[in-house]
Amino acid sequence: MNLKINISILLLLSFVIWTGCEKESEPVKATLTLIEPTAGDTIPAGEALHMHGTVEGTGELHGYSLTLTNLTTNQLVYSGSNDNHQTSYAFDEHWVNMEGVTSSMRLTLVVNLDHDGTTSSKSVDFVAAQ
Amino acid sequence: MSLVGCVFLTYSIWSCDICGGVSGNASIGLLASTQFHMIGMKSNFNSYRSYLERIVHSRERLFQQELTGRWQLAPRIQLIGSIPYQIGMQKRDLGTDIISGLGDPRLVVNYILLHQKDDDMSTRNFLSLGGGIKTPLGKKAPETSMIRNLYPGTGAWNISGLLVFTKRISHNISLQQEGICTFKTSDKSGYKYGNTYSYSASLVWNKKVGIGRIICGPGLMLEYFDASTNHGLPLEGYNNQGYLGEGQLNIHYLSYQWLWGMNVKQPIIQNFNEGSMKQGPFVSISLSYLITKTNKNELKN
Repeated sequence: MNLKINISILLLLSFVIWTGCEKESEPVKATLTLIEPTAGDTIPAGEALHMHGTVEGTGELHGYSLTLTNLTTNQLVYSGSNDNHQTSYAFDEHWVNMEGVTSSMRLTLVVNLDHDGTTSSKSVDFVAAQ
Repeated sequence: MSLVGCVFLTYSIWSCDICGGVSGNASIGLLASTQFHMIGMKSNFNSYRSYLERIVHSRERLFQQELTGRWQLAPRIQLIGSIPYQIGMQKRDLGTDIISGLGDPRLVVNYILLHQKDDDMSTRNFLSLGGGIKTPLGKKAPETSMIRNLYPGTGAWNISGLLVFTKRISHNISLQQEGICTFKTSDKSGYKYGNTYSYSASLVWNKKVGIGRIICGPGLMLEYFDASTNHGLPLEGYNNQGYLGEGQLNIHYLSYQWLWGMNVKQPIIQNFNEGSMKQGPFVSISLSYLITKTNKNELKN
């Protein structure tokens, strides 16, 4: 009987010491890189905008989205999202400038760092010419 | 005519150009040293992965179904043609594109320069020179397309030169070597895929099995792809330039009037677009009907 009590106390102590020593997990961080377009680029009418970029996380990431907004008309002209859990992402998408009028544009990349709404984002502004 | 020491030929004159000029296999098949006419079907599967900063951003899969034929115009002249139909899929993080349609038809004329036989009528040395064209009749990409490589046609002519030499090295083993140069023209928009050059060497072994004959050819293949250009100027960024070294295995089984074939290629070394694209394994299966007046005699020996 005493042996059982001693083993139970030892196991309990081991658990307390183990959990006490465990470090709190670091929050995941992400490095967002927009390779194309670069700030101030001008995309002529009828030509394609290359949207190239990468996301590299310090741990598992929870998806990302890419949106392209016409700031002149305040319209969303492109959006895409990926819900896969990975430590890195790369995208290579294209959008053809058919806006009709010269417009200020913004490309926004948003990465989900967890499922509690923590995100990291990066934007770049450029011009879609007529 | 004996099939021992027979000549095993597989030409690669691809029409769609996911690697700057590969894809779309035309084969004159087996038995160049015989008088067979052939008509058949061939299925090809190939895959690629593209990288951005060493992270995969797209996967491409190509499936191609070809109608193939070979006609022996004269004892020394063979005509080989194929019409492909292709389904290409590119899957990216943020979207998927599927392009399907007829590819560019191909035609090859093969002229036998040398065909020496041993006393048992087996082929001892075989040398042939071929010329091929690929016509821009397949479905091609619009000028503004960003997925040009996924289309079954290139919109341009290809002209190929093919040299094949086979030497019998033992009773039922031959060494076959082939070199192919393919020169490409520009499409209407001025875009031109780079010329391609390939060399392959295979050991061809054959043995009578059951009612037919099995023919195996393990070997190596090296390919080089020149850079693509636009109006004569090198493309900005990735330009499809690169090289590929593959191990390959051909297996054929020939019965009285049917020829079954399988070709598998596995890249060993490769570098396309500065390492931003990698080709996966290639698998092809084919079935051809042989048209000949003396087919039963061909299988003796």
